[in-house]
Amino acid sequence: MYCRAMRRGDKAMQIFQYLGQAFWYLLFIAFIGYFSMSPAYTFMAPDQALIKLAFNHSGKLKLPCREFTAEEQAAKPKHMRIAFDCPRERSPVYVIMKIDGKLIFEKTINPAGFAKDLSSPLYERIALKAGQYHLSLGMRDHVDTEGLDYEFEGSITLAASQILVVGFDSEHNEFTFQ
Amino acid sequence: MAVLIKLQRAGLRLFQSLERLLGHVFREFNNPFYSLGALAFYFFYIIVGSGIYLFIFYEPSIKGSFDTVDYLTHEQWYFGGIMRSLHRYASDALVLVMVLHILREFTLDRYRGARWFTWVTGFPALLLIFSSGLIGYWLVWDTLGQYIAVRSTEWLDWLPIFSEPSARNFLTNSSVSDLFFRLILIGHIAISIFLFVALLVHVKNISKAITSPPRNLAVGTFLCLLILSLALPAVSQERADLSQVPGIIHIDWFYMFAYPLMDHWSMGGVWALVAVITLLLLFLPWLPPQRHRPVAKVLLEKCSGCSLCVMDCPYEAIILQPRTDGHPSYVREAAVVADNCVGCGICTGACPFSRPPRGEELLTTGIDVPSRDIQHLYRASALALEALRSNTKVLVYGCDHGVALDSLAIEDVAVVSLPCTAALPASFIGYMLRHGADGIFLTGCRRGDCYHRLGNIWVEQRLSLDHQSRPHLPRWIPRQRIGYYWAGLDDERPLIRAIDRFQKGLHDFSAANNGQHEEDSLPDPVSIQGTRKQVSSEKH
Repeated sequence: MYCRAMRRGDKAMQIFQYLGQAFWYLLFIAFIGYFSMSPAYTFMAPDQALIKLAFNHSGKLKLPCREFTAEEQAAKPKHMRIAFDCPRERSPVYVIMKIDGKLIFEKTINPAGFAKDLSSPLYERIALKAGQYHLSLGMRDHVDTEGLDYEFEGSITLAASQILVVGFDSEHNEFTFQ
Repeated sequence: MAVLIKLQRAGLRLFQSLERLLGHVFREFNNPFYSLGALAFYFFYIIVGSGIYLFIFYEPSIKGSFDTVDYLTHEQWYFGGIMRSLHRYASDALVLVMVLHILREFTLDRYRGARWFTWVTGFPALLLIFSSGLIGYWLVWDTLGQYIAVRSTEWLDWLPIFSEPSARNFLTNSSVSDLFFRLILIGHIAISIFLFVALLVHVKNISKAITSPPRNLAVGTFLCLLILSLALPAVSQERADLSQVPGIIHIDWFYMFAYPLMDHWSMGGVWALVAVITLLLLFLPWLPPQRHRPVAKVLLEKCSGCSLCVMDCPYEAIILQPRTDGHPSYVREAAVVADNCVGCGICTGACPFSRPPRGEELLTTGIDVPSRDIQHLYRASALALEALRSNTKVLVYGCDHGVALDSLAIEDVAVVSLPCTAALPASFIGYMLRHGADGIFLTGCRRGDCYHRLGNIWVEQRLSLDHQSRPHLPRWIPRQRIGYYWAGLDDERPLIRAIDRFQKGLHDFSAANNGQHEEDSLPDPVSIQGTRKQVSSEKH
């Protein structure tokens, strides 16, 4: 009798363990399965669009070349004597963006590099509702310039979820839209 | 620091409750919480296995990446699709067990002292797991891959380390080239190889590191991943299109939990969060309260270089080296690597020279832990025993990391706490039984969850009649006079019940033997540290 009761107890315990394990394994499956792809994340609302203002433009040289004076030349070793001193430092690039007359973005980007002799990189995300806008863009790439060196005025239409990449073609000195 | 300690205690209570619950269901050795590190290795193996299959079909190009993954998912769903799902879900499971592993080791305070190396080397593994996982999502090149690629580079660009923003590589569809996919595929594989190396370094200072989970658990978790792969196959989202904003994305929260923060905080805020977590993880072992544990010391005159302490040390803290004292018989000697030693005393328990006193000789051992040495153990045991007034004297040996023995509300037992129960030499048990104790009861951390990793395994082997390779309890000592119960911190009541059962069994055993023990004829006890204290050998 005792042994039979023991066996029954063991069996009940075993069933409890199997059920318990099934529960925990199901919990593991549910946890992994759910958080592997849920809850969904709304990065941007469906009626939104994005302007990416991104380019890599080199500002003009900050200072013009100048001829070394005779005294300066004489102070240098013979093998280091050159006619002109051309500082490598470039001007910072100033960018301004207005949408429907409202200032959206304005930044002065310093040239990269320890000697500030590299280009000025820009990468900026601007989220807007889809629709038509009047876009004003301006850029100044020389410290001596009053006002802006390059400008764009025009109308743009942004579709829902569209990404409009606004760049700058340094060869033709104009803003580009992709 | 007070907040940290409170968190640690609260976490410990939570883990202990969960572990007890799972211990009933899975039994101790299959308890998933005791195999979190091993499960991490196991999931990594599944990831590698399934990844190799995916690699065979994967074409690293703008169009091919999405197409080949899609082909595997839909056209070859019966194997390729399952492999893809296993690859993904095993990666998620890896993050889950890794996070639990970190939290658990933190709450159990298993990261200080000599354990700093294992803790700190886990951090590169953590970084590599996340890097490899996130790059893996790029390879699919769906809207999720696009989102991760763009946001990750934008996040990296926040640091002023690039002369040109790397996010510009994802401006338009024409910005991305086939070469890019080849590079990230190589990166994905290379990081996985580095990860394996990092995992090996992580367990370098752990002897007998368990890198595969118990079979039942391995089968169970694999079946779970397989069922999940069949019921909810991992599928791609829409093909990536850099001219479109990925609006609603089904992100993998195990890897991408921080990405929404980039949108709601700022990139700098997320960098600050990462920096705080990094610094905390890296410097946690040195934050107060510091506990300086003594380092084991080899007593050369009693060391034969038998290597048993080397084998039993859980921390690779003992090595064998050529003899330095010119001993005529022994060619090797044990030496302690101080940086790895945590002062657990398991080596003392393993040393065959850890012998009880003979004649006027004091207790001896070949390796000992200062401040908790074998003399201290002997004195504590004798004093505890002397204080007992009951007929049946039970001496309970426990560890500093199990149930607090001092607070045990149980009569007629004397308690002695050790850094680890395995620090108790087997010969010592026989000695105490001959010199006053009617029964010896051992307790410590839960089975499979020893604070010093292997303590309760060694104790069981030393008590067992089957394992004769290490110092063991002599066969002639009746095992009815010895009991053990492995208990978690909050297992006070089950422990008391176990001791109670042991006491009753001891009564029955004594009654059956008419109160006579065969050791009664053994020599009388001897001095304790110079003071001649007679511990009665009379029983009952």
